[in-house]
Amino acid sequence: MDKFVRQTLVASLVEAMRQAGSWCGRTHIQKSLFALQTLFEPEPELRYQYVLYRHGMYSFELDRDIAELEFYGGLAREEQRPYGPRYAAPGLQAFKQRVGVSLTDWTSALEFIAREVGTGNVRELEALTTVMYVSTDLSERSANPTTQLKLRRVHELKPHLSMDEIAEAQSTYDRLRVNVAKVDSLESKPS
Amino acid sequence: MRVLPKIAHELRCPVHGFVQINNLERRILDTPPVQRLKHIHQLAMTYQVYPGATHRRFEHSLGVMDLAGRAFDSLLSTEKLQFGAEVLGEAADRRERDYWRQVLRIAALIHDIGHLPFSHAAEKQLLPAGWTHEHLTRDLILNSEITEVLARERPAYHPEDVVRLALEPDEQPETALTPWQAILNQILTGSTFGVDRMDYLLRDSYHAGVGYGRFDPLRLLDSLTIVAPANPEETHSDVIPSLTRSGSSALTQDPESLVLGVMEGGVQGAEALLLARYFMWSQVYLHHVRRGYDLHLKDFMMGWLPEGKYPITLAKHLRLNDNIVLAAIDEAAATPGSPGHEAARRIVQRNHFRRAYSLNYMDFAPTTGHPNAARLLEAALHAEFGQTSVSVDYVEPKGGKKEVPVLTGNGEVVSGLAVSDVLNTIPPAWCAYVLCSKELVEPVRRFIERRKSEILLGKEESVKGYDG
Repeated sequence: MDKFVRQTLVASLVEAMRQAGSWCGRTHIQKSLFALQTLFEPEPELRYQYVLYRHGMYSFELDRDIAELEFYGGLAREEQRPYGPRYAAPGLQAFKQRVGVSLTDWTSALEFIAREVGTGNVRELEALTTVMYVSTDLSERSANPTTQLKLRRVHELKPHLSMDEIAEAQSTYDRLRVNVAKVDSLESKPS
Repeated sequence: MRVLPKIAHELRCPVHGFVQINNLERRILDTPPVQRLKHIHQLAMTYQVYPGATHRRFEHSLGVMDLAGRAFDSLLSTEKLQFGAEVLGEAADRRERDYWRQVLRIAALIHDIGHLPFSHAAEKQLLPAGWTHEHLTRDLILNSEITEVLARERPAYHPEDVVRLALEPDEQPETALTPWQAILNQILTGSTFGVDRMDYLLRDSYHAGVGYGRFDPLRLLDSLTIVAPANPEETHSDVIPSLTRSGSSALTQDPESLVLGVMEGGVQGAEALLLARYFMWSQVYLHHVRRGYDLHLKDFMMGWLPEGKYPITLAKHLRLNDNIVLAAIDEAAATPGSPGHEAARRIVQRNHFRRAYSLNYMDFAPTTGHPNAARLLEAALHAEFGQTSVSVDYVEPKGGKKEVPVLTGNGEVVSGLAVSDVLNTIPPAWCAYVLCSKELVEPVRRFIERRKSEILLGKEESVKGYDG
């Protein structure tokens, strides 16, 4: 049932993002879920594998799950011509009931991500998630990477982002990490 | 008498007419990893359904190489650079272009060298967790005669560059492709306009004898262009919503945002391609008899291979092809009690599993069924009939609506979904078959008719009268 636990998380995140006023296109879902994984570090059954793709962190597994969720009604695509589609989760309750997964312990975390990350625009999300990736990657390689080192590395990976944009994203990440501690303290282990 | 050396060669191809190949490509063609592809069926045992579908990955690889070169030339023609590609430095540098054009053709030629015997039939079960055939492809590019051939060239071609273009992005997560490399990678592996897909749709359609896979590749390649979305809501190459004319905003100076699209005259070509994909999936690739043979092949391989696992050392991989496996199947079918005997017998005697039932969408919808319908039904069927006599084959939805950027005649880049009703209505291809031995078809059908609601909805809800 691992697949359905993750899919329930995705559909629940989409619901929270729409409530928070997010455009909730595919990119928003991709980046918001990456932020959730980075900040809240869920157990393996709730995680997607991400790669550093052309426009930031991207999960092909998640892409397939979104398609499958859409197929059996866990997610609904809303065409918004001439813009791209956005997603909603009108079938969330029926889906959760059927697969027997509730994830109620994740409610606060999902609302936090939806509000603090999900409402950003695509460029902001690209910058933020790349900063997250670099921070994690550099921390695994060296004991205390400096902020300047991190910013330079992000700029190497994403030269079209200005240093100001990257610095802003770093500042946002720092703020989120502080605020996550307050959310996390309210959480028991996810069910 | 003086004999002029040949610098170019031609190979006949039933799909593309002639495939031109230079000396370097010919040397790579002659290496064992590529020659092995002459003995790997492109469509596994689909010939059990469509007798003409006996073509191999060798000729497919040649076709992909040919299309890759054509796509490169079309996309980077002088007239088209202005639509977006001009921001890529490599596009303007003659030496870089020549180098990468050759790398792309080589990547196309060898992109399938890691395939297991009978292609995709049993990859997931036979390889280590997290592996695909692309791991083997990468190893071969970096550690075989191909590497030596590339190194002997002056200037040398870097095997790592070939890997970057040959592997799908999610198969090389540790690699950050440059914008130029990402575009070239899309040309080969892209899920909408990748030439790998273009060739196999045409080739499979031709050899199977079905008309569904046909579209106009030359028109489509001619109309392909690199475009830059100016206000992307989504930036993945397959989902491009709000777009404006490239060249008119700061963001169009952003090489990161370049994607493959079509000029307005190519919309019908794109429609035909995506429809071809849908039809080929639903009619050929997901044919229930073919899926049955895939199942038996998988069972045979797992019984026959040591510890049920495919060898991932390159020397052993290169020794294994369809001929070896077919000989082993023949032997096992004639030898009761030998590893894989039962599966081999089914293949040789054409006593394959039959389709007793096809799950439909309602079986999966949460209100009328269960998203896990395939596995729930399979568990119940196994409990009733045993694990070796019945199987539920579920392939998740593939394809469906695809976003296609369209460059209009007045210079605007718009969403294909906004201008094409066809692109909006292409459904995903999927299947969920209950397959079983011939003698169990009726009992299985009766079981499903009697018990399906209860299995998918639980006793309480099935009593309430939900109709699954």
